[in-house]
Amino acid sequence: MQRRNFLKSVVAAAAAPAIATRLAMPAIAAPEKARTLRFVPQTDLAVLDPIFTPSPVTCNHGYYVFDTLFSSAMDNIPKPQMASGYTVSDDKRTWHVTLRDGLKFHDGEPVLARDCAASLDRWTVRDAFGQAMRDYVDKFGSLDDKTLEIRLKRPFPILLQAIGHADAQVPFIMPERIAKTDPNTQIKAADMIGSGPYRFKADEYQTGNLVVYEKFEGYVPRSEPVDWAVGGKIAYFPRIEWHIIPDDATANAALLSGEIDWWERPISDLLPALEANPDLVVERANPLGNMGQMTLNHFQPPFNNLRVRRALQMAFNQSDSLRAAMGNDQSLWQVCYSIFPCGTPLATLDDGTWMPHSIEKGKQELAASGYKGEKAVFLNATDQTVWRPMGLVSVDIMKRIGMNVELQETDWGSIVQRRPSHEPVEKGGWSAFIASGSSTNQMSPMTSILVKATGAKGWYGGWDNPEAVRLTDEWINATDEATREKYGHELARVAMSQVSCIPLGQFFTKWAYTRKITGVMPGVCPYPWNVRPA
Amino acid sequence: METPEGFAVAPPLGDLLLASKPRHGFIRLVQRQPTMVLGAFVLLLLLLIAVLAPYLGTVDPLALNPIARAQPPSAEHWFGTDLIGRDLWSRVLYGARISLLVGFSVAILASAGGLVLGLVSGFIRALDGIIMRMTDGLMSIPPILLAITLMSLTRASVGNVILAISIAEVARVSRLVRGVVLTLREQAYVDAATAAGTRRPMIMLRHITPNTLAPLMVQATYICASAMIVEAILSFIGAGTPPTIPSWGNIMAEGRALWQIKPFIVFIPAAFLSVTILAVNLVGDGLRDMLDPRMAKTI
Amino acid sequence: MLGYILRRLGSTVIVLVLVGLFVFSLLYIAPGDPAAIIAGDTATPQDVEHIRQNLGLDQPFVVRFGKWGLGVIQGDLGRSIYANLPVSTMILERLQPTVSLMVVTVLISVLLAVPMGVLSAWQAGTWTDRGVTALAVLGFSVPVFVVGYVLAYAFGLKLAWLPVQGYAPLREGLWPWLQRLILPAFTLGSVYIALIARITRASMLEVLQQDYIRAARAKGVPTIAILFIHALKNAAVPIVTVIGLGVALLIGGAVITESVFAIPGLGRLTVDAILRRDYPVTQGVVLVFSFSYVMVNLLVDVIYTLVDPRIRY
Repeated sequence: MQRRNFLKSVVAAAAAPAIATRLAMPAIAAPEKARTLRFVPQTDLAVLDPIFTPSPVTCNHGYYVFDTLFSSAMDNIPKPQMASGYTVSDDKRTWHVTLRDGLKFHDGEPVLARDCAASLDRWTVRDAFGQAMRDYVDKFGSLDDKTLEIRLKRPFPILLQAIGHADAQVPFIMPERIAKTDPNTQIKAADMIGSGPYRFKADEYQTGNLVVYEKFEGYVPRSEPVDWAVGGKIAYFPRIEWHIIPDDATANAALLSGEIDWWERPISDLLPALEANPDLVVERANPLGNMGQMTLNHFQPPFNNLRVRRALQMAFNQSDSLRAAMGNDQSLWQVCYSIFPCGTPLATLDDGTWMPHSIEKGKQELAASGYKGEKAVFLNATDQTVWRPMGLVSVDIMKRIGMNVELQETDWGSIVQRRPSHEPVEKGGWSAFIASGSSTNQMSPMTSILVKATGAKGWYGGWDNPEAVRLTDEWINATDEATREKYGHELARVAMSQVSCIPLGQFFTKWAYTRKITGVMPGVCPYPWNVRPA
Repeated sequence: METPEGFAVAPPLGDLLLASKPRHGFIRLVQRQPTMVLGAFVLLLLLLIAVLAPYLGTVDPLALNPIARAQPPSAEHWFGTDLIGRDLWSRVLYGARISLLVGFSVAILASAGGLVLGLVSGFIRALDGIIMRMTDGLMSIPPILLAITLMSLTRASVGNVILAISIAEVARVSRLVRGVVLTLREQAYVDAATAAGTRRPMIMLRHITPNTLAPLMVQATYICASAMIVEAILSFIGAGTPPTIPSWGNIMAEGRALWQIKPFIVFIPAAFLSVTILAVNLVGDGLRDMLDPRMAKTI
Repeated sequence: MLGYILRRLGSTVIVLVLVGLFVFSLLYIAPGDPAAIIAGDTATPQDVEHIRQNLGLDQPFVVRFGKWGLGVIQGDLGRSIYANLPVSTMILERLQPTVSLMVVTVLISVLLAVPMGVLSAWQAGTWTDRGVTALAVLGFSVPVFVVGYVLAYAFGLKLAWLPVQGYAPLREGLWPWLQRLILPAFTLGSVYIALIARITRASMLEVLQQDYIRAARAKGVPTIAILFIHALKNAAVPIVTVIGLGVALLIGGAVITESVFAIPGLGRLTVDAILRRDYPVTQGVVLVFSFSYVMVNLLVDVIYTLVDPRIRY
């Protein structure tokens, strides 16, 4: 009897402080909490170096810590950011970019032109746009401390679009000594020094758990109003903490209980409950969203046969696939039968010739293609919440038009390892897999993987089409915007009719944050500027 | 108090332990081990469900219908639907097959493997040292981590899951068997057999093995329960049964993000899994109490 | 005694070498290329190869194992492929949360389970016994993450008594540290409590049948004293064994608990590392776990001598 009472009193004693603390917490803790923004990023910030990896979460981190010479908003028109202006020589082969006054790195050093030169040099090795640019560049150098000089081998009219690129990989500016790190090696946490509005606190960084940023008082914002990463980036919160919470249900509970303020990517099924909550705001993160594509292997049967590719393309139903991935809420997805994303300048909608989404037409085309039942292997990533249902629907469609398809589900890491293979499926090869990319990347022929036509030197799957390569070159070298757009549309038509890969439509993510903060702006990344306590 | 003879005798004390009245036959079994019988009964029921799954009002557990995703239980879908619209009633019933298969297979494989290892280790001194160190090493790696690592080596499949979990459990069984062998090896009848010219394998088979069977059987039931939980955990992490094949662990893993708003996706398979493991544990406990209650002091 | 400990330590070294070799070999033959994963989607095969060389992944097995082994002896467990930080630093960072969780779990579990087992043994055969046993077995049966979710939902969200996630280091205060560990400890402990209660019951049952217990009763010693002082002490050996062995079980459950409650511990680190093919981290952590397990067992064996004077090495 005594023991039982003892246990009871222990439990009571343990519970009392918890209740008391919980009740007392709001009053005592409020002032401190109002000065820290607690954010949950879409995944763990595993790699810190935004030039080394194209991962979106690292790009987000990049925007906190670094700044760019130019940047573009949704209209894709590059505008000066760190730059105050630029001039181009008459032969169009030398560009001079002048820097603004007062730019400083987090260690107090001024930003000089040679820092910019070294940063751009490093960027061009890894980024797709940058790699294309490298063919044109003779040298990145500096005329003087405040003027960057880019010497070209031949004119590159879209240079500003390249270095004003808003989405991964962004040409962030770093100090020269750090930018000289081999692009195939990561920059260390201690060297995360940039000139952006927030400073990375390496001493408080806990891998896989917590990332801490502190407002950089030496940052000089521009005077224009801010749009995406263009204009005046004014930081309000003195401190921002990224809490890495891998479990969706836990992150949900944390948002509801007020332990975090802003959740970057709630899964779509949780959104209705969050939207119904009066204390939370749920809105679309990136107005252009992401675009999915099914990459096909052009090296091996069955997809080395144009008509087999066409058959699948004709049968493919974007609504079914998007609905499977994102649910019934149509603010989360948009059908877009176009190689370039809808809402962007080069969107070229198919009129039903190539993508009538009809199983019947697909069957007919397959029958006429000479397909003899060669096995197709579909690699599907089980750990990708959006891609996986798309893959399952795709396999279903393939079966319904009469293809012999085997579904192989593994984690994304294994797919990454297998996709460089050119082998036939009997030797561990593959026929198709699903991936997606940010629409801001997929909207330009320079960075869209749907139009890469250089065969084995291009994207996985190896679409080889000299016409498309020629059109891309014309697009780069066009002297006026109208001509450039013409070539862009032409390229889209070639890619669609030759089935480089199959566009799967656009989908959007929404983020959720508490009404205690305001100023959250849509854009490519969850930008920290402009966000302040309500 | 006083006996009739006049001796002073202490008053009868209530025993610290309460007495029980003996009965006979099946009723006796039920009386003495009611929980074990209950457990066995439940297991049998689940086995029947697993085997008869196609006939119990189920549809193709793989048939997806993304439009009807995450629906709560209704007349059309008795347990509701999962995140891509598959019928949960069917998936849970078919899932019983996988969970039971994994549990029983691992129990048998680990027991067989551990038996062989333990016999060899206990009997052949030369190999004992090495095998001991190896099993020490194996046991010192947490079984979950070992299973995850093994699974990351290969493609996900039920067979690989069974193999991975068995390897993680084999070390413990071999230690148990080795312990028994070491004790028995010194017994007189073994000496007698050796003196009579019986060769070692025969001794192992005829004399030692039967004595290991009792603790082995009990251990096997616990391994069965443990394997089912490990399979659920592996699936939870994403390193378990391939997601197309329904297993209770898989179903829970896929529905975990929605736990707070659609709890049935996690709760229903969890209930099934818990009841099954409870049943297996009860059977194991009963077996152990019947065969050798002293074993209760070891895991 | 000292000789025994020294011999055991020698044994430990052999075990650790075997474990190291085993894990290293496993990861060596594992499919999945960390260089490709880390290089990202738009990297060319040349980039991936370059990265692979930088990470030393292209060298033969013996060279890699030798380098790693030599490093371990000097205390250098290598560098994480993903985080580009020394593995030992990462492990030390994550050690406090996991150890905190373990300690609190063991404390709560032992304090709850031993009395449960004693109660159950004392009332053996009654419905109290069956009830407690069933409750304990329930702890085994419900998967750890379900327990975690239910507790977090009930006490964290609905009643809002405790935070639902996160970890506060001790230096931020005793209560912040403890309050975030209560729900995870109960979650993790659910299996542990069941195990300890069961073994306690069994061991106590045997001891309670002994004559000296009857003698104590006859002498009029109060029941509580009999149960907790005389009987428990003699029943302690298997209980202590189980507490020691159970630590290995806890590590398995810790992996899930840390995921559910967002505790930045070793369990989560390891699972992430394995799934991302971050070899150096996986190898380092498994080695650390093995080492702790062996040490804990040694500790348990030493405790035996304290508890049961008949045991001598």
